[in-house]
Amino acid sequence: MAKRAPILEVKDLVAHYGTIKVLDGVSFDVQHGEILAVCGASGCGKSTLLKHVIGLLKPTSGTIHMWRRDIASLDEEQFNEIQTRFGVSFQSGGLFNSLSLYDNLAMVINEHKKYEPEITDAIIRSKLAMVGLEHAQHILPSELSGGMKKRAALARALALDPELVFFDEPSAGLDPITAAGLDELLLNLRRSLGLTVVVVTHELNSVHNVADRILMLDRGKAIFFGLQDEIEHSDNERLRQFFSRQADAAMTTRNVDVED
Amino acid sequence: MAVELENRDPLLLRVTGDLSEDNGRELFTAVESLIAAKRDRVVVELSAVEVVDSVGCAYLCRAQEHARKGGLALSVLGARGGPAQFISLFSSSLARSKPLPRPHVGFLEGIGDKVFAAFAEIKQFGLLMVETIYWSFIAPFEKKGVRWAGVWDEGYEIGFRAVGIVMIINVLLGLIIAMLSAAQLKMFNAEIYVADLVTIAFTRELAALMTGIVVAARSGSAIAAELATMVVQEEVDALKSMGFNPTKYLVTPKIFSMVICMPALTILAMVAGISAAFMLGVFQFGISAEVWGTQTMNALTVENITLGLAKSLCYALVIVIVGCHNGLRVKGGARGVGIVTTRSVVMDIFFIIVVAALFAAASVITT
Ligand SMILES: Nc1ncnc2c1ncn2[C@@H]1O[C@H](COP(=O)(O)OP(=O)(O)OP(=O)(O)O)[C@@H](O)[C@H]1O
Ligand SMILES: [Mg+2]
Repeated sequence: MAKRAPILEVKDLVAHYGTIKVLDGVSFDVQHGEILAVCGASGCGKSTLLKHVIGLLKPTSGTIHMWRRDIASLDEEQFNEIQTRFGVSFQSGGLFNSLSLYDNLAMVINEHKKYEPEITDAIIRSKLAMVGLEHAQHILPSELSGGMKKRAALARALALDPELVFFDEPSAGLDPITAAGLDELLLNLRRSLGLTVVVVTHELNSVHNVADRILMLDRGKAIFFGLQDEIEHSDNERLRQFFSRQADAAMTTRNVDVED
Repeated sequence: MAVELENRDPLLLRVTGDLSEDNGRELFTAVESLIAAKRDRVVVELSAVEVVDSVGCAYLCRAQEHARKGGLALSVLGARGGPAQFISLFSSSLARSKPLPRPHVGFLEGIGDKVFAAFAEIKQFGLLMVETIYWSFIAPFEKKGVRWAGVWDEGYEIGFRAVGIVMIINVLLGLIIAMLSAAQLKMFNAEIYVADLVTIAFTRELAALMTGIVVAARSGSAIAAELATMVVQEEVDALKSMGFNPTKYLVTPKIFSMVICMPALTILAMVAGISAAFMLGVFQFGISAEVWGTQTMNALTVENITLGLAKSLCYALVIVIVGCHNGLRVKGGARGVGIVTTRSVVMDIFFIIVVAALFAAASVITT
């Protein structure tokens, strides 16, 4: 798996919101066909990391390469081309609320590709069924439950057969059965299409089932990046705490940290 | 060619390389022509396919469906590994996902729905009005509290920041009316009566009306958008669930600050319009400041000023209630917020004119 050049390579990413430093020198890479889980306590900068990697926010310093191209150096047209090669599902869904689920997918496909209408239709229906939403084709996102929105966002991220997908907490708000179904879908797509996945998740179960490697963030720093088994041998206190689900004795101190 | 037809028994369609858009379409056309040629059996051979994607699978599924309808027995054989898995994932998903009809509303049903919706809206509006009046003008005297902090914040936004634009608009309007009327009165050498005309018009009608329209555009829209966004993001539900009354917490502070700001802005607007006419009279028509001033003071009656301020109070209530009403009944997401915001400004201006007309009618009847 590690033979080819990495699909995504992030080096020393530093990012600020205003004057507050949110990411502090994060480096990692993702190989073709790999599933990388990004973990970390709430508010540690996972979503922010994702938004920088997909080019929505500009980092203060550091570089991001996708398919060996520096995304900061791309012009709009080149970036658009790269954009069709990855799919994103945001933490709060990011669906267009005025369009039905079907039209949400149709809009993305028709914007980038010119398929025959029957083909587009088949792709949309099949993708919705993959996430278990075949009965909800013409429903507006505002009429869906939270978990259904998540799944719809996932279907939309997969609409264009991307090579790389980013999921921000796909299983938050889902029951264990549906969540396991989504994990299974990711694994299936990886096996069949060689899909590469970067998934932000708190679900230790799903980390365990799907992830090849794990990136663990803590207060904006990458405190661990490596294979699952290495975690057990790691001597990092926070890391073992996270993965053994120990209640956080440091919770109070951390909140004080955040505030000042 | 990556889709080849081998003429043996049974007929064989062999796909090599990838099953994506081009090969998929080719496969589909080949199957179509076999159906047209009334062949009865074909095998699609995929053992040489290395890559598939959704488009290719969609063509394959479509070919299968057409073959079934056209009486062609089509079997797919030989797919291996990843492609086989994806084809089975895609086609089983597609088979589960029957095309559903888009919701469609008939013409008469549409009219019926609109009528019901209109009645429902009137009821909603009435309820909000009753609640607002209770929480704003009755509850405070029952010692149920007012959120004064909210009132000052809103007051700054609604009132103080609107002073500039209200003044400018009324100065310009004062100049326009003075010039228009002066052009007519000049024929009778009666330019001095412009002072009366402008003074009466502004105190009685125009100052309140123009202020109402400016505030409706500035703050009526802001109120609607703010509440609509809160509804969309479930903030209003959160308030209710924690035992806060949304009318008390969201509408009442706006009512108070609007009730304070509108009359204040209206007085400034009166001053602006009347002084604009004064400037014009003195510097343009060459009438002495004293004469114009006395004429203006004579036209300035307590009755007219009170009437103007009363109107501005009514406009204040209209703007807040219409804004909140529209904001709270938002449906959908971002688009819904836009719709109710526009709707609220249009309704504001409509109701402001209606109220002005009612006042005019009332004064005709009483005199
Ligand atoms: N738009 C923003 N402006 C300013 N600060 C922000 C913004 N978005 C996030 N932050 C701050 O950046 C930090 C990281 O936020 P981020 O959303 O990346 O956390 P997260 O790891 O995704 O958390 P969660 O698991 O709860 O989703 C937080 O402390 C947050 O307060
Ligand atoms: Mg997040």
